[in-house]
Amino acid sequence: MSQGIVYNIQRMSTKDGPGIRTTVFLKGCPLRCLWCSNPESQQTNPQLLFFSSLCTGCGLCLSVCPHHAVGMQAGISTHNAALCQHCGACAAQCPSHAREISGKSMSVDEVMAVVKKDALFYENSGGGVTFGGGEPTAGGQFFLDLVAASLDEGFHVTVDTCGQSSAKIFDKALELADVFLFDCKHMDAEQHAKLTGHDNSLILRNMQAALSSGKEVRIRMPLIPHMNDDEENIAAMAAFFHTFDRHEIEVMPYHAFGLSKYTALGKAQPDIYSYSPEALHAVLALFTKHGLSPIIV
Amino acid sequence: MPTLPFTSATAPAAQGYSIDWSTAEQRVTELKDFLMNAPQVMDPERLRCLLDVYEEFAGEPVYYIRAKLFERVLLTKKIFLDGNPIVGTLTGIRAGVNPYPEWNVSWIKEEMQMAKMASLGEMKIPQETEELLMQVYKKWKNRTCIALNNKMYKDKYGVNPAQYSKAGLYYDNVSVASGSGIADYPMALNKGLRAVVDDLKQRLLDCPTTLENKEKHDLYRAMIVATEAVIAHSHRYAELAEKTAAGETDPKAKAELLEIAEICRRVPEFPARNFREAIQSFWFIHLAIEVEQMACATSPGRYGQYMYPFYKKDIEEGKLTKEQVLTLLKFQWIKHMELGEYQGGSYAMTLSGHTGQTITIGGIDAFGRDASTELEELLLETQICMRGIQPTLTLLYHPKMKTSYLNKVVECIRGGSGQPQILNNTVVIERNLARFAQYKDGITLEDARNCGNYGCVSTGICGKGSFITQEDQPCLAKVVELLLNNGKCPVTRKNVGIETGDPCSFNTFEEVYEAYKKQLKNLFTISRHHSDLSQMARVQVVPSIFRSVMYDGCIDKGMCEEAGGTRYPQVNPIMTAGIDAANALLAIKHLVFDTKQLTMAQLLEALAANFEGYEDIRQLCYNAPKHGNDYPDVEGFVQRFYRDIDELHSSVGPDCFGYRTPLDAYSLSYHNYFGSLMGALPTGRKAGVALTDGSVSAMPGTDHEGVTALIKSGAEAIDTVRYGANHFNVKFLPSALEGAQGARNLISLIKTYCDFGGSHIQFNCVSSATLQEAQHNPAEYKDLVVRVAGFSAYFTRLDKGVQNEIIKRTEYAQ
Repeated sequence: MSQGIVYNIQRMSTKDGPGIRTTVFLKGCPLRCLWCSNPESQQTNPQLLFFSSLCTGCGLCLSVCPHHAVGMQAGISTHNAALCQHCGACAAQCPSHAREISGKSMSVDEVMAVVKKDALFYENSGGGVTFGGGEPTAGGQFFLDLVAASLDEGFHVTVDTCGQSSAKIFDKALELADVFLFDCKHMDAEQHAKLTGHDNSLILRNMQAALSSGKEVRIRMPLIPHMNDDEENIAAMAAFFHTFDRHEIEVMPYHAFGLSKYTALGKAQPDIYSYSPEALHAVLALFTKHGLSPIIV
Repeated sequence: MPTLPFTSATAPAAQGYSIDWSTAEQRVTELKDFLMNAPQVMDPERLRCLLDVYEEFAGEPVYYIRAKLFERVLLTKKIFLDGNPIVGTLTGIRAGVNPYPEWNVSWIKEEMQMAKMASLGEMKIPQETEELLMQVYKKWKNRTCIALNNKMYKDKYGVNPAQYSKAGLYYDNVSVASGSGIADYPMALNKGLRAVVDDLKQRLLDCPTTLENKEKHDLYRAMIVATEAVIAHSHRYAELAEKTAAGETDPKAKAELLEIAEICRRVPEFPARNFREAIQSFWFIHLAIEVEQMACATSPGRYGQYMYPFYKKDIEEGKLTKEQVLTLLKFQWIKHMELGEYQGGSYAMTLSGHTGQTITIGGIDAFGRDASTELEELLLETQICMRGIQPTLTLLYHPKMKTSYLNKVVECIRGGSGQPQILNNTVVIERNLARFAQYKDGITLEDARNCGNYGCVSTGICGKGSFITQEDQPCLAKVVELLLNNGKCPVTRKNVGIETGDPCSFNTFEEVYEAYKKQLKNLFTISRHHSDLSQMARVQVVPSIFRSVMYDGCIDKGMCEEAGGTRYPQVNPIMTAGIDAANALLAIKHLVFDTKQLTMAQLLEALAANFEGYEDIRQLCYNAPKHGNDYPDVEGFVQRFYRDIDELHSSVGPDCFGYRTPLDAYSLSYHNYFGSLMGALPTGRKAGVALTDGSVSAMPGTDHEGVTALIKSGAEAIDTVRYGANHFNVKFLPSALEGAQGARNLISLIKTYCDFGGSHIQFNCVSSATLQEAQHNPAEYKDLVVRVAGFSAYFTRLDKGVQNEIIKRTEYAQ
């Protein structure tokens, strides 16, 4: 049976598809979006997160770290990224949950055991299971096995994807899952590469396949100030989606909620600011101007 | 559901009544502002009546004296009008509170100089009241219910039981006056009290004058006095309104006063003919019951259903618009909020001033059809507008309810007041059928369906049943403390438990568990013995007379409500802090026996030190497996625990009515009160801190798996048909319930909770204040999840700036 790395299974998920859902977050993503709100999801392997603000300075981590990656300074523990092997020994001891390992190797059965717990909630609410990430399709066979196992249980399946996925895996997912939450980040290949690390050729191929498949596809756009909110890009998106007779677009304005996770990973926080209400209003007007109906999610 | 083809746009402003509608909403605002700002005041008048009547009527049977006291209060208290077209106040003072010293006077001596909190906040005791209280104290200190209860216990069992309540094993249930459920309001509205008096007179006349009939004879005599007093009380308001009208120059105000006079001449003596009369009749009846014994859990029941015919008639005849009904309901809400109570500091702590005037909405009718009405939607709307603390609303949820009706329910919940709370209609009916099947005359299906919410989360039959609070609310967490101290209370140093052995000598968890059960059985036995005698004391000292008139069955049986006169009397043994006990046992199992991270001696040492210097052990305790996460082993234990408690309780024997009585597992604010009397617990809770609220809620900060896991764990923890109640509070960030999708999700959560067999659930939207608290105390709020598309995080792990942003949003949403 296939195994994969899961970094969170969130029950009572209400924002990732219809009804009450369980969202399974798979770790690993081919993109490196500058604004990523789940930076711990990018690498496939488990990683240590250290939230220094929650540290009580008890020193348990210091005593158990086999790699000498923990120190003490000014009454709280410190984290040496160069030495840390992400083994999780400190996280297992940490009483205040300041240290946490993100990512756990799980089998399909183990994931499904959690997913199945809320079956009655799905049935009563028209919900189901959502696979997100990271990029869930990057999970390969593990991902496809999870989708198949969910369908076997009669669960509604949503896939939250960036679209950067091999055609083979993606087309298989398209055949199986019920709903796709499909990100669209930038229409220009060069800009796309600059913002995410990859051009958008594969994404557009998969987007076309999805929009032509007859499956429910919700187009979602992370809206990032000065990165993809210019009129030229919005006009290009409108032109592209209009060819599929699509006019609605779910917009996710940039939020800073993920910043503390950058610090916890020992990474620099991205230098992006949230929209003021006026600025957001002005950008949304551009969507309308070009014949798209933006829905904020 | 009956609905009316009516919108405010199509109907002209109705002028059926002489209420000055142009000033009405302003009056509502002013009356509410007054209540929210003025301190409550303890009125001396009832004390004076008490001293006088007991002297004047010494030698009469207690029924008669109690009726005369009730009459004296109703006929002599100052009355006034305050701009509310619904008239009738509890005392002669605006926002006045009556003392009820016949139950208990110890607080008069012990707490007179302490600050006092009643339902609306601070309460003041004027000099005159204080002097009268001291007189009453001297006269009553050996005659109160609790004094008699404890004396009878000592005479019978040879031990002074005061040590048990002092140690926090239980709370003396006859030390306070108490409501008792849902009176037969529709009888008063539709028949009128004159018919009741006539019936009582005839029964008295027909009652053979044999010694066997002495009780019945006394009771009928007393009931006539009490019922006539309620009629005379309404006539006093008629006279006052007429007199005030004579001096009124504004024609609109004058007309309103004259109409009030006319209505008060009519009801509750005679049947109400329209909504305006019905609302006043309802209020006089409800008020009279509260005057006799102002205390928690005098619940109006299915108000939106028995008032519906009057509502429908007035709307159809064009006498009232929906907007005007809403305004009248707001005036009624003011009346409910005015009713305050104060019975000493510990009572204030256990009830937080809650008066339990619960209105039940929804449910099914005698034929199994959806019973919800359009008027109930207006009750929900009133609750949204008033954001009041009383009355409270309870929805009897069942799968046949209309979506539009449920959406109104969701709107009200989202408003942030946590109302209505939800009860599972199917469970309540099954519970009634099971509970009353053992009674001599059984129960009809129709009566089982005519159920309602008594007070907080208990249930029973509307109008035909009542409850008595029994068994002294044993605290299950305290039993853990006794077990870990071999029967000795570590706080009072008294041996209030039994010896179950040195805890360090236990070799397996099962030995610990058996010892727990022995301690608990001992506590159940003491509390049963004590409270059975307390019921004798109640019947002897404070039998209710008017309340007995208003509960169907008492007149027929010629027996007061306290003695079991109603058709379906029931005992409600409230039992608190079950989850703290289960979590504590689970922590011992996990840390001492399963993983052996601690020895029993280490644990006891840390507990004795209240974890001071043992923060590492406290963290181990706090992070040990806890209820609320849908972990099969943990929930399996919680379910076993509650099953065993029920069995143990039943093994103590039948209740004072002679039946097996289901346990009522809920907290009121006892978790707060008992918490203040307890040392540290193996759950990681420190001494003095409040225990877990509800009976199946999670200990704060220990549910990590999300709301669905919590709901499933909560629903399945207790066999809610076998038990008399469960009690479950769930907190939400408002963002989780946004929009139409959020409404559907909330309804799905309710439905699924009920599908899993849960009985009670209440949703509270997390306030910005809670979030601020979480910011300062992240360890206690680890479970707060922030929901944003495609994003996963806990609130306490966000940057402070981001937390502030969410706090601002939450404020905005509210």
